[in-house]
Amino acid sequence: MNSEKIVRTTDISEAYSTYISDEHAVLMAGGVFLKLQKRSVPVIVDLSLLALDYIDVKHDAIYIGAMATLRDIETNEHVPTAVRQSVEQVAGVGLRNLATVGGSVCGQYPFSDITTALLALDAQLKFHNEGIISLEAYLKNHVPKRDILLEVILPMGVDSCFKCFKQVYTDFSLINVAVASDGNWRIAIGARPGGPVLITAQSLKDHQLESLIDTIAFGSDSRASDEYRKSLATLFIKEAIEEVASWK
Amino acid sequence: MEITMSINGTSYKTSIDSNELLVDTLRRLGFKSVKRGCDTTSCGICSVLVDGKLVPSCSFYSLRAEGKEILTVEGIQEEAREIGHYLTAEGAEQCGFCSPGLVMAVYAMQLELTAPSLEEVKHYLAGNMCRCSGFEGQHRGIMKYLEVATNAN
Amino acid sequence: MQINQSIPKVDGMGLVLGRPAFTDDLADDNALIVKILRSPHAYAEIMDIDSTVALKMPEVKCILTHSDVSDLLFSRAGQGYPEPSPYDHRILDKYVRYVGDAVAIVAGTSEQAVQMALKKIKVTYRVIEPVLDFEQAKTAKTKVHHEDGTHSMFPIGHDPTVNLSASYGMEIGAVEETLEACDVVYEGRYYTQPQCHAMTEPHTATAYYDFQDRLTIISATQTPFHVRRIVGKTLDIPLSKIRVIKPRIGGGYGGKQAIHGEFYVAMVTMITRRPSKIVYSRREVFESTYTRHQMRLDVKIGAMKDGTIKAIDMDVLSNTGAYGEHSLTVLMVAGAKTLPLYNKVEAVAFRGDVVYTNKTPAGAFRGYGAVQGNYALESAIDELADQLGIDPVSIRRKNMIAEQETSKIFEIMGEGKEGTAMMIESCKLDECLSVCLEKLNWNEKYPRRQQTDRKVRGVGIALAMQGSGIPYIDMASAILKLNDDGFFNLMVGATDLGTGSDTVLAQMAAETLGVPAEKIIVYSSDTDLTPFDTGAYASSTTYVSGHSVIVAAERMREEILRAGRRHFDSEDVTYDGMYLYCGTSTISLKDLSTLLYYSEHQEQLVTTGSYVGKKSPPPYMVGGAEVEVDTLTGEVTVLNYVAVVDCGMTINPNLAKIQVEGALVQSIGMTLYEDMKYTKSGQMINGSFMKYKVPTRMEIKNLDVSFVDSYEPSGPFGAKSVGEIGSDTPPAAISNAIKNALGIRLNRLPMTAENVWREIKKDKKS
Repeated sequence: MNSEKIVRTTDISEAYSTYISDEHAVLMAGGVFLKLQKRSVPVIVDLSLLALDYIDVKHDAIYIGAMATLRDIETNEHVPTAVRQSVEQVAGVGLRNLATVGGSVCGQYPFSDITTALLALDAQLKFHNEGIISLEAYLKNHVPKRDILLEVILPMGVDSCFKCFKQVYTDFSLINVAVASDGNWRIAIGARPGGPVLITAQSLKDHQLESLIDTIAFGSDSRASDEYRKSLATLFIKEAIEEVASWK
Repeated sequence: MEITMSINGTSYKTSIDSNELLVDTLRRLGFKSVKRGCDTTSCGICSVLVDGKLVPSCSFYSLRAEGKEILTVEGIQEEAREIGHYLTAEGAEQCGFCSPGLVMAVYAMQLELTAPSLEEVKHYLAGNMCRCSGFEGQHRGIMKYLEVATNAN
Repeated sequence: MQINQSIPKVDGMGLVLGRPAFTDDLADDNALIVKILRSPHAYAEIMDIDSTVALKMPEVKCILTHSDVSDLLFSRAGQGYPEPSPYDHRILDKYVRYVGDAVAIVAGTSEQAVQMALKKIKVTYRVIEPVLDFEQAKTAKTKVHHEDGTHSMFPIGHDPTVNLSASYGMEIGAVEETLEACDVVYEGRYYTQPQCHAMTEPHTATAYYDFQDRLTIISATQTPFHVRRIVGKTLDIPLSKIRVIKPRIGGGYGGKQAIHGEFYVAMVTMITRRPSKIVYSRREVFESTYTRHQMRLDVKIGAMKDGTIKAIDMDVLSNTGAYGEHSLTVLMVAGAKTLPLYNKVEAVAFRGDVVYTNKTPAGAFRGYGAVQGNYALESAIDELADQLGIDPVSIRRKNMIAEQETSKIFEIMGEGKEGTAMMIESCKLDECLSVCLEKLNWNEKYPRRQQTDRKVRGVGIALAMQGSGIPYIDMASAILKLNDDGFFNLMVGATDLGTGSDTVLAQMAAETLGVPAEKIIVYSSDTDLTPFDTGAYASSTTYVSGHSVIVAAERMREEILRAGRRHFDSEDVTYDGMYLYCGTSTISLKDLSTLLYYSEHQEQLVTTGSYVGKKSPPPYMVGGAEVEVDTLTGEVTVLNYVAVVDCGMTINPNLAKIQVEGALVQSIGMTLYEDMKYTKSGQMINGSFMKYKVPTRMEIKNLDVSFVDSYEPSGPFGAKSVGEIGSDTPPAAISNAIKNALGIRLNRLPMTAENVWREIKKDKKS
């Protein structure tokens, strides 16, 4: 991506006002996907000087700054299991040192692994202007459209597990699932055309699970067919549930 | 625009385009060890260290290098020679195009991991592609290097 | 001993240390950046190109279209002249024949400016319905090469009126008759996909005029001499006015065995008189260089109840894409380097057509047809064994070729023409097979072991052969020069693409001269400074170039002795590499060489050696795979791949091992993961490393490569070749292992998890 002007600032208000002042302005988080895009924009707002790369562990919640990298998340043992597992095989260590959780979430990439894990854990997103909204709502409504994500908030003490299928180790997932149990079961299914979706249930028997999965469209593309995705998803969800249940 | 950064311990002040990528800036400044292998941040060939972290220089905007410490193979010749000794003893260094990136990754890995197992080494280096050697020779060399390095410390 | 020594590569340390060594490292900093405007259509006629807006940009120095360049036809293939590939390519053509075909050459002072200029060029196309399905190509209405003058240098079955790039057929004995008399006949069809080389260095070339006003091209090419000839002839430049240099190359595997960017930079530099360079983007490497030939192979094998194979018939349809470089020769190798494995048959037939389609062209790729042929043949042998109720090892032992045997195929099938009859003087297939089975733990693991409810393991094997150079065609040569201080320069045309041939050739020279290898300084692949070599292909460097080095080194020994005799003024002189002796007097080579430069009977000792092979002794290999199949996901994991190789003497055991390991991983990629995907209109979907997946470190669990003791009498120090043999077995060995594990034969590559999963489901239903 090219732009005439790149604004670097340590002041979040300046970053925000620059961003919303031009409807074509773009935010730069890790910069990895920006680099891949061929278009030109009038201004890019660089978020790297806003000190948003923290991971704060509190008693009941973990606060992950939007500019925390996937590698930061991978190597922090306090981050919930599913989220750590979801980033382990995203490309290589080098790319994970650049790619950020904020970039992944706000990019709303259908192939994202971390978004699926965050969805299962009922992640809350704190935006500069909008305040806190759930990731679930954000993915459904795509609101706020133009805002700066400050941090992702996850609950502590919730068991979770992530599974995915990749042709080779560093590939995009053909399908991924994440399961979290906080009394209810939250099952997120992602890496499908359309992005991650969520199923919730109080308790699950196999047939209930299968009829819930039946309601989801998996989509075929050059990576995989929908029947294959569905078969894998069903298998992984059952395995993940068993795994999480066994920890209790 | 102008940026100032440290490359291999020396301060550099240079003009860059706002959209310039670190791999091109470094090559322009004469650091030919840094190479471009692909268009999609997928191969690890261009790996350098920025403030001690392994980074694909093809996707790092040079203006973000302001005030940072960049390390390329030219800056760690002694360590590279040591690693190279073990790689070349296996014959694993073939066309050499992936070598500088691999050396940087091994160097970065040593900063982060202590006495890693083969699986941990493979995981850390998974993003560094090699198409010539079939990987096993690299692993033989790197594990021998790590064993000696660990025993020395 | 300098041979059979794993000395480190002469360039190994320098490359690890990051020294500038590759084409882009050596290009002038101010070279004009050259980029190619490429066709978005699979087939179209260019009606108009309007570059006026682009030319107005001050940074743009040159824009060339088909009306600005020579319209002479050539073949891009890097092969000996006259090439067995059709002349069907122009530098720029009025027609574009695949998505990514070249439309215009643009040169400017910066990458950004040139990219912008590309966007400003307006092209009007008349889109033509493309031929995309290679199985329909012969009868398709669309002709990929329609009355455009394409021709072949000698008859190769070239018939563009039916989209045929080349065609071939041969029969020994009477196959149909013999099959009818067989107790059991197996028939099967197999498909292989186009595979990309995916070498880490994109194709790069730079050109400039040197101080003698000669055009110098530095290029990442496997065939510098062929480049010089093709550029010279097509651009009508005397060859004496061109120099081509190959520096270090970042991988090739056949993908750089052709003309790629050299014409573009040559033309730009000729017109602007400024240095220019082109660095292919990774996408261009995928879309606009070339791939492995996609093939459909039909195999018929007939045998008697006792397991004697009587007849084999192989019928191949090969897809060469839009241009036919390497089309005939790859087709022929599919049979020529597989069928002789079963030389005791009464009848054998091979025939094939190579068709044009409007897709990325196919060309040379390590294995060069033998991989595809091996997949079909070695799968078929297992199937035949199954039908006969005989185990796959016994049937091979009973029928495979052995030392002091031959096959009529050697004399019939050569490089696009007849071949060369050859007695096999070294063949350790039997031993390779025994060692492989033992290392695989075959007796315990064959055919399958159920690990868990869900996971099942199987083992499978395949035999392979390849060649060592092309007899009576591939010529190599070497020059040795003695310096003061007693060291040598070895100049060879041979092309080291990272394989270590510089090192191996130094070892051979050192061994012959009796000096340590570090006394030999190698310089290679410069059409001015090094003598001729056809280039790095057909596994020829160790065997053919090696011989030429030995000739030069033996002559150098003679020269040193001659100088020694003159120095001692006596006939009674001996030389052991480091010293010359005459009675009780000695002089070191170091001292003698210094005298020869400065003070006594001054003379520069220089020798040359040339060699053309008279045979192409095959290296042999047995590949064995142990796989684990997850029956719920279809995922196939190669737990262990055992490769036992007979390549004659291993001049450098480490380098030989890495050659096999590297080739195995590339072919495991072809077997399980890699595939080119296209849209319905012929656009490549996955032309990036993000979407085209080569095996990573994690996919490779264990490789076990070993060499058996073998000595090829016709080979340099008993060596054959090792560059390609590692590629051939994985598809068949893995397919056989899966068959043993699941009872399901996968006859299409790649055997991705989803494909396996589908076959398992289908099998459950039936």
